[in-house]
Amino acid sequence: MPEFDGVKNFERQDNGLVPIQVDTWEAFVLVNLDPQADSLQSFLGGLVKRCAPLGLAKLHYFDSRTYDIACNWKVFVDNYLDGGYHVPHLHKGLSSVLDYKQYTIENEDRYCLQSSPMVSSEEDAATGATRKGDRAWYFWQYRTS
Amino acid sequence: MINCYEGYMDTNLVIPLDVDHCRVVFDSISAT
Repeated sequence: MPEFDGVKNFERQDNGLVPIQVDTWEAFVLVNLDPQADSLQSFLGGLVKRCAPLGLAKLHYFDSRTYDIACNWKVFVDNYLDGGYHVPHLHKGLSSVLDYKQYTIENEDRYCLQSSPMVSSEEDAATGATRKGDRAWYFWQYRTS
Repeated sequence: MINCYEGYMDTNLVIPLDVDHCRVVFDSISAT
């Protein structure tokens, strides 16, 4: 606090910025406003090792979109964690590039991973343009307590 | 949620608003 020397009833140590936790993972800088929260490494758990081969640090942010949805947050998450059950019915383009016979679900310490080999398809060009590679990875990181 | 493919990923941050509403923030991240 500059130029406050000698000010009465002002304790410099009681008026500093509030400490926050800042840490990095892959290409992300993550901030936690709770100084008592677990470390980022503890929160991420096995996700760090599992994502390391995917090269996420090489990627670059390009867009954000926000949606307000009239449902409880657990309904949204439950839909995501249904093992791809809804995908053939609601996302036909995505469905055309996934091999559901080999779709897997793994529950780990701090995350759930749904994963599927990918197959080539020309059914939906827009989907095929961004859904490339040998495998699709869908991670759900558990929320904090 | 973190969805990954070769050269592309998106994150979906799910924020509870009340018992019947939530906000979902989609961030898209790409190699290009």
